[in-house]
Amino acid sequence: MIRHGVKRVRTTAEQLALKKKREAIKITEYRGLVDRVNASRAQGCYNLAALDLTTQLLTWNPEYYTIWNYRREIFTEGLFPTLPDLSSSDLATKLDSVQAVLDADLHFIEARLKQSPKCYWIWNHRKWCLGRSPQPNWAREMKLVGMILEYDERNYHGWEYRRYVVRQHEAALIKALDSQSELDAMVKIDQIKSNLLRTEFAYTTKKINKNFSNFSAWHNRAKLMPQLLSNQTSIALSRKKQDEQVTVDPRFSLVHDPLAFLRAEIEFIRQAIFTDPDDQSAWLYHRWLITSPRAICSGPAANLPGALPLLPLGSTLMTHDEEIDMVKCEIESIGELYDYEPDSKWCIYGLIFFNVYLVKTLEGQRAVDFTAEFQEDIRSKLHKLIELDPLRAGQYRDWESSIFSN
Amino acid sequence: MAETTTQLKYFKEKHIAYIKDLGEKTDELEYWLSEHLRMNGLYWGLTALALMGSVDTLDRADVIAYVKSCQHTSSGGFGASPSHDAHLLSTLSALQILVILDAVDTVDEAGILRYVRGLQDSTSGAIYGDSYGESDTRFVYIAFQILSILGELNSNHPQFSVEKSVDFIMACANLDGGFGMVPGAESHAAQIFTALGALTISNQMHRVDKDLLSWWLCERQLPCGGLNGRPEKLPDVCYSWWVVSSLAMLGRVHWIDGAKLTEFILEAQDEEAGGIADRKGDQTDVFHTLFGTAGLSLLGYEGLEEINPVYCLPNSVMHRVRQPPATN
Repeated sequence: MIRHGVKRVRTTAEQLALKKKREAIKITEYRGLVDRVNASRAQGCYNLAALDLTTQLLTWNPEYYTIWNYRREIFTEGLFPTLPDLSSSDLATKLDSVQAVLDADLHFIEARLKQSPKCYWIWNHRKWCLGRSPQPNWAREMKLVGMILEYDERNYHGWEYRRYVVRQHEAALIKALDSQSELDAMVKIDQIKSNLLRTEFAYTTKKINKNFSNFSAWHNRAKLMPQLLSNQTSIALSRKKQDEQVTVDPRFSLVHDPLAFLRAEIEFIRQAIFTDPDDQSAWLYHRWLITSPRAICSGPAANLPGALPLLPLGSTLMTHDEEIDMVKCEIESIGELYDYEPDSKWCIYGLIFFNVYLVKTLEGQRAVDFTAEFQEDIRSKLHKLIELDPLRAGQYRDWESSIFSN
Repeated sequence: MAETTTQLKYFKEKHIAYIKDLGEKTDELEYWLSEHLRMNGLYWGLTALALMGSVDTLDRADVIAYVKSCQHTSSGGFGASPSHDAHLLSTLSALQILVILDAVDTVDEAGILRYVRGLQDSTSGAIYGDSYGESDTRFVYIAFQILSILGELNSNHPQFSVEKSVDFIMACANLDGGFGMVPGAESHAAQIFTALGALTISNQMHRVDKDLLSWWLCERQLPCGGLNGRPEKLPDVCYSWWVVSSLAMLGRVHWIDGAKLTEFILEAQDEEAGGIADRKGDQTDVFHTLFGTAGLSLLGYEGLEEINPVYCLPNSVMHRVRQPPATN
């Protein structure tokens, strides 16, 4: 009912008849299996034989969500309650048994994921199993999702699963903490977060260095950066130059100085833009970076003992003049690229956007105050954009009228 | 510039015949393997037919009887097929089919309301797809549309907080102005459609950065005229719906080249057997047949009924939605 990338082939009447004949056998087999599974569920069978039936059907058709539901019922209604030692007080044995049953299912799901890496139901069932595991192995999950993102660096489900694993891993580590006091717990939690944040941030650097066009990685980086810059442990390690992970990602030595961090990040994105000025991933990220310094570096969320505050709480990262200087510097840099690439739509777009952002948003000029020279420059660039990128002419025309209205 | 390629047209009669035949393909394995999508498929087919002015192609009484047979008396939700479990995805499709056929009152409405309200997470405002708890912006959209159709989208219902679910949607906003499936997830055109749909239905569109998001959306159009769903991905006819409906909700359909997109959609038709595919030369399916047709409708293609960009229902049946959003 939904097909993607399947080539259309014309078949002759004979080929079609042959195909139908072959399919008739498969249909009988498939429907027979479906009937057996449904009958089993109707009879309230929640044993290993029932589990095996669902294994057969889900291997054939992992999209059959109802059968995943039945599989979960088999666990909760049948397998878990009848595990050995239920009536005894030996909880540890019982939990081991639950883990063993779920581990077997995780193994089964892994095979299904490799077969259908974009099937929602399979990912969902994996999370369900892990949610019920007495001892979930988050390192193994990281390895699995690493493999999936190796195979397809943009897999939407894969990236989402990666964030889920990190969250769960963090929660598990925090839960296992043995703390002397509330303050001690705060410090330790901050350390746990620091480790995970830096690992994940370095992972996005690795993915981006491999392919500047990996927008999924840029996206994740944007989500991690504000957290990293407000993490006290990372700030302290960076200040004391004690972060061993600096070898993994030199950026970690700048966490205590968000302005320097931001400058390094701008330099990084500049590399991406200069490597391929037509790569929209880089430009999307670039615009966010330049227009959101306050959201990115809002300062530490709270002061922890041992870590000096980065900035007084509530103060802003950059002065207004510094922000203006940063945007001017970007305009200059894009201008240099524009000299080499006068027909790059993205360069022209960037020049218009940041010039207007500078004078209207940061300097507070109204359109009536624009100099004739500025007006002419912006208009001629907008007209060039319409010429170079006629698909989006409507956007550029609307833009022209909004720029020149007050 | 006035380069007119072969005058492509929309093969309406072929598509009608194609959709009519879909329900009779019981001798194909694909028919049985896609049972879990049957209710959605019926909605896709019926809506495409409605846009072609040909709802009567399918027997009204048969369709209603089928839909009714999929409602679960205990939970109140609908499954995709009679023996399939209830899920929000099939529950919305069932209700949309009934709106098109003007037969909402033939099912247990109180049951549907009970089902939908029971799926909200009272803390985060997330909506679950079913009792197994997968949450996603899609499900907020579905819940809002169902409540709106039934005239029950009250902001202060004791079992359902519209405000909390709106907050959940806003927690899914990203650096590019778009929305992902859950907080933290990357923007994706189909998820953006559901987020904007939910925000339109709940009159919260002022919370969207319209210029930023429209920029991202219009950059989905590729030189071939087709649209992709994320940066650096392949074009696909279904994004003619997810992207253009989103632009329509933002009042910016003119930010893309409608003529080139029309051509891209028309080229993906199977001119012999009917139906539309994801791309030219690929196998057709009812999903792309609807979303290609709906995209053409949004672009004002002649001879098609107008589609509502928020509800994905023909505008001609929108008066049956009991509590539609206020129009700007």
